[in-house]
Amino acid sequence: MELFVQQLINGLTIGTIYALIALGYTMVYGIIQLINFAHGEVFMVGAYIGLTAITFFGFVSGSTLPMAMLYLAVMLLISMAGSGLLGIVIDQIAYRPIRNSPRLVALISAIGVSFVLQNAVMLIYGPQDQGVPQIVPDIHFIFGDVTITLMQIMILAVSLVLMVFLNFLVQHTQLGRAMRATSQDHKMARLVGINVNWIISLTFFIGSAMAAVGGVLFGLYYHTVNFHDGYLAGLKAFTAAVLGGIGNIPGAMVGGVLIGLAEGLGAGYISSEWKNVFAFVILVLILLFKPTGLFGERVADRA
Amino acid sequence: MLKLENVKAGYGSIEVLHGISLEVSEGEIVTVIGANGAGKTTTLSAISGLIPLRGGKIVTLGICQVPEGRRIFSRLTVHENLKLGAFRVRDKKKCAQTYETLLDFFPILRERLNQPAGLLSGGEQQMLAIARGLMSQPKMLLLDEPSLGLAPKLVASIFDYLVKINRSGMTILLVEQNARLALEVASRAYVIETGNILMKGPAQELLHSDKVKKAYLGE
Ligand SMILES: Nc1ncnc2c1ncn2[C@@H]1O[C@H](COP(=O)(O)OP(=O)(O)OP(=O)(O)O)[C@@H](O)[C@H]1O
Ligand SMILES: [Mg+2]
Repeated sequence: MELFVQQLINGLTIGTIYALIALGYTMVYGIIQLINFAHGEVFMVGAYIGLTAITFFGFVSGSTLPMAMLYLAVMLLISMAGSGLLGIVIDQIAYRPIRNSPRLVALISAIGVSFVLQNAVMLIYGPQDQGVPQIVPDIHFIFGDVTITLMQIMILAVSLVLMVFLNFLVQHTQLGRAMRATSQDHKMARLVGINVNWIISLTFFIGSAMAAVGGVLFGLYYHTVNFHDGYLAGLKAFTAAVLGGIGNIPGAMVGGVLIGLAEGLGAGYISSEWKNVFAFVILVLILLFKPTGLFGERVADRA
Repeated sequence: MLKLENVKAGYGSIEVLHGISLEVSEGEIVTVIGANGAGKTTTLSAISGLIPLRGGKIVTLGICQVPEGRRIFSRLTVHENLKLGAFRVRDKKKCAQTYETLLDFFPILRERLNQPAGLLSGGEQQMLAIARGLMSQPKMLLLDEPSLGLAPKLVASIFDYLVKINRSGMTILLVEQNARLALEVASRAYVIETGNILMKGPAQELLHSDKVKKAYLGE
């Protein structure tokens, strides 16, 4: 039972990070029916931007909790802004010129962007792992055999706040309505006066900013980042988006958490060496048995 | 209110409109009738600026297009569809007023406010499409085949609505394949064929002309 609860907590933690990344896949797909396979790299760049930001501001470990929170906030905001802009630039350079080409073209373009970003980061920071300082104090809350760290609580809290905010934005504001309308019918969206290109850019910005938050939290959680990190995390988050039903925002959130839980429980009960396999087993199973995912939209009503 | 002078437009390398001239004055219902592929929708697209002009000139004032096939946002609620109609309207108060007026005018929509618009019947969807267009508080409404795919009784009811909307002061340009009904409600009409205006004149006159009778009214 302790093992179960412990793995549940660990799985939930990493799952919310996958969920944050998955949002970008699903939002971009919802708007332009494109799988942005460079999105994992945006997550990785987000982690590096966060790291660079605290290095720049000269973080000293052992700060008080309020100071630590301030640093975390600064890190997140800078990383969100930087990665958000990166997302827009990727769209402008790699996708917009080929908007009406076959999907395979966009896929190849995405792979190109991935290579460029990975290699750029490798050239700037070097191929070795970069240590991420302990910003959130290393506090453990112990309940019997179950431990939850302050960092885990922070990850859950930050993710929860962002997801509630995003849901509110999309469901209850005029801007969110415009995004959903655009995702259904670009031409009609233009007819009611929505600037469709602007909405697409905004979608890339938000999706990339969410991935950046995932990247910063990921770095802080594992204390290290590497230019390769975007690949695996990106694939798992993509799986989460497909599991939730690509294009569906709450689906991506649930999908991420489920993938995290599967990974946590799989690692605990089967083998931690197989940790990375569970997500892909799930991916294969969904593609075989329910390609629309858990909350998938009926593909037929796309005009 | 609306004036097209020798408008040319098309898609890719094909020119579809070869010089369309038409005019609509305030308070009128003007109809453009023509067969499949004549260029009716293309004309409206040119007016709305959805496709670029290749020649000629268009003068418009406060137009709003209700497109062919309704194109309501089916996964959004009726309420959300209406709100989006007013996407460009800055005056919140006026917007709320228009919203209430429209719901009084189309009571069926008030009953369905929080349902996904995709669940409405075809006729209700057409009403929603028109109401959404009116939410932008246009001076003039461009309607592309509002009768498309509707049972005759519903078509009659939609046309009743159009006449009422017109009486309340709205100028209307109505594009239709259902020539008889369109000519009955319109004051003036244009007949378009393969991208050219073939005939024009008072609607009643066209309704009784042999040419129109033969080609568009199936008599
Ligand atoms: N997006 C497009 N790309 C290329 N050609 C088009 C496009 N839309 C329309 N056309 C062509 O332009 C011509 C006029 O089409 P348009 O849609 O304006 O006709 P219409 O009068 O509205 O017909 P309908 O009554 O069937 O709606 C047709 O030959 C059509 O094939
Ligand atoms: Mg048409």
